[in-house]
Amino acid sequence: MAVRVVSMRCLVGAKMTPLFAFLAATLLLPLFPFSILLVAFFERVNVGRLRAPILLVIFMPGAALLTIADGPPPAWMLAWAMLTAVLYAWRAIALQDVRLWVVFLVVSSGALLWAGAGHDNLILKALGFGLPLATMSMLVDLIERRFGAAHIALELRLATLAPKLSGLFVVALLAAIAMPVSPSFFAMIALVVDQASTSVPTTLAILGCWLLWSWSAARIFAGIAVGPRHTRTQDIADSLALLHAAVFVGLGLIGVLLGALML
Amino acid sequence: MTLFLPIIVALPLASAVLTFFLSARMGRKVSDISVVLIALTFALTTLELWSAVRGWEGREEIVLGGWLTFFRDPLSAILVWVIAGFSLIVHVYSRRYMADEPGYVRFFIFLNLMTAALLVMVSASHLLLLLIAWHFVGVLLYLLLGQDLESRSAQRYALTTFFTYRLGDLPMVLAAVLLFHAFGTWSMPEIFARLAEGPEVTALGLPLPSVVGFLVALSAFARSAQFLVHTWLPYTMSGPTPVSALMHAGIVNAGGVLINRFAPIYVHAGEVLHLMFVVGLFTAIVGSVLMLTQHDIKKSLGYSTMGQMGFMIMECGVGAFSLAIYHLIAHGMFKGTLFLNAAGIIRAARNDDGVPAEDLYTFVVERRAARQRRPWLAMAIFTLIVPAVILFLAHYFVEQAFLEKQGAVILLFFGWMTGAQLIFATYHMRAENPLRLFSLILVSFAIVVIGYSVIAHNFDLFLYPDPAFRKALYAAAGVKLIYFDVFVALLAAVIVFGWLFAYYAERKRLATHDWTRRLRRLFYAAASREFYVGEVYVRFARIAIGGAGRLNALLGWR
Repeated sequence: MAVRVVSMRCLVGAKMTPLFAFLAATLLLPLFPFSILLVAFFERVNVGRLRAPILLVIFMPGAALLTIADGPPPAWMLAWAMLTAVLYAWRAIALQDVRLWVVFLVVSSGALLWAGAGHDNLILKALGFGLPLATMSMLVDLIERRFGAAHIALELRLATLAPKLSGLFVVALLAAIAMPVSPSFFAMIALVVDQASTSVPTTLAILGCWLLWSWSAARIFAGIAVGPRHTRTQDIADSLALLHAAVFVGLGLIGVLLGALML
Repeated sequence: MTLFLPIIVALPLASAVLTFFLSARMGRKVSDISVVLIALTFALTTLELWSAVRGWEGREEIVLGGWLTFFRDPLSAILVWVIAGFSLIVHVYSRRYMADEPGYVRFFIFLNLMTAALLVMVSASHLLLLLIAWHFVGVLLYLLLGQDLESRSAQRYALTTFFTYRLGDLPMVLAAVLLFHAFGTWSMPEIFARLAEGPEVTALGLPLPSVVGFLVALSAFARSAQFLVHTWLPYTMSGPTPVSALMHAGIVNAGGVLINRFAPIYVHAGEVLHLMFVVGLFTAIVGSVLMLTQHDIKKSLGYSTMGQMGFMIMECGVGAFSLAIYHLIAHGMFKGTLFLNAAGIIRAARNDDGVPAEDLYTFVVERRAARQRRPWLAMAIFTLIVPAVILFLAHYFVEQAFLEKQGAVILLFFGWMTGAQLIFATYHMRAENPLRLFSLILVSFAIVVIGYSVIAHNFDLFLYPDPAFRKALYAAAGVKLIYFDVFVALLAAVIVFGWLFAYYAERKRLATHDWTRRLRRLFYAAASREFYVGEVYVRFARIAIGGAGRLNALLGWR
């Protein structure tokens, strides 16, 4: 079932030329160097609980603008977007701070959404990317509140230190890098469907980002979750663990639902 | 009966869920639930296989709704049986083997999930379901290999495996999407039916079967550790032994399974089959060379698997798809047994190597040849003729028209060389009664060849009952007859003169030149360093990470 946001033009109440919409979208689904502003913005959001809801909706305005443009972006803009996506995915492999890693993934996935411009269900794809990143951000917040930061250099060794938190962290990480049945998995496939027959370089960029995300996530996992540790602190409460587990089950169900809608 | 397959898939999933929820109450006894449910799964798969052997007609699809659709065909019947069987053995073995390890419950949950993912992977008839299962196998293998959360090396090698699997996942995604674009459906039976009606579809300006076949082959190469994407396989020994057994016995075979599943595509993609043949052959040779030059026995086993996987892919490349399935099952059985016995053997060998100083030992290990010899020329001729005759007769009685299949002829060469090698080894051995020794070895060889031919032929009839389709697969893998004849003649000449020279040189003790000795040493050094492939990748990874870090610093981490 295709969900078209045809009434968007009415909502903004003004007629917008496609090029203007695309140019505005370079700020909302930011392309490099405008992406620096987004990263700087997230640096300033120090309240951890705020980041999750922001991430949930962060792609929506940009996706709405691209939908309003009602067509594919010019080739040079699409190339610019894909370069941004790959650039941030590549840069993410050297990161040690998980909060910053999430923000880089936000920029990379936001830029990838440009590949869905001019195709159906862009809003659903935006939701598909936003949901797992929001849940990942919740987990980062939990770790930061408990240990002060979620950084590889802290040698947290979460798996032996707090197994429940570690388990949730792994699930969140896998969801963020678009593993099945996370909503972003289906969003990625939908983007490949959009581009596979029209642009080989764009398709390769999408797949390349997917690969680089996995690489960086595995480095984050190895740095945060594993390693020898002899002390043990208090794990998160059972109720909190269950609550988060329920969120992930819900995320999987939403993923399947979005997948059915998009594919 | 049609509901058997969904139940078979659901049981390991249910086992994982029950293990998770009951572990707090039952402790380590919770693994009993897993064993019982996997045993039940195996029982159901046996019934399913039995009914398939008793006579299914062609392929059937079980549709539960949405993406939950499964193939009910001979391929899925035999594979679910094999997976459930291996999984049951690994479950039973792990109950005691993992008893003292931390993360016991977690291990069983992952093992159950892996079983479910593999079962879905081999039976899914919906491309999205196949993709989901395909991805899950990679993730679960990563988690299983990294079971020891305190071991840095286990984690590092698990990461290598994960990355290579991801590398292989992506061509598969693209292949699925291209098929969806071309036919407007994710249903594999529908896609295959429409492709058979009109294979002249294009994708990216090229014939669709070739493009999709190539992409699927790339995925299969990564999963089955073909050369250049093989580096993960020998280094996965840091994981628990049951995981090594499951991986070498089952998971690594996924490439062959995938290629068989997409067989209707490869009927129209002969050039991709040729590529498979080359890659498989090269991998088989490199894997065998590396196996022989490793000092670490587990690494050596890993490279042995790589060589076998190369052979399996090569079999697909010559059109012998069903033979690849037979090969992967046979290899899985012996390699799984080797791994599960490895720990006990290593422990026993620490006390006593148990190797008797007999002829086989002195020849194979000490490289000492027998003092008394038979005439070298007669032996060389005997070596060349006897295996060829046994192989020819065995195949002729199974299927008279086997010489029409180019792939079968190519594979016969491997059998010929193996037989010749066996007799050459026997020639060097001291024995009180040489005639008896030769007779026993020849009878063993004949039994293996006859057994292999009969079983392989029946596998072919079982998995691909349509004779036209079987013929089409071999035809797709074939090359122009004149090229093939020249190739076969050249290959036969090389083998004949090679063996004659081997006997002659060995008998006359021909001196070797300095430069050949130096060349050999160089080659050995390169092989013992695994041809530096892993080191090149590590260097590349360091450059990529270092470059990203420098750029991040330059841009103020924004």
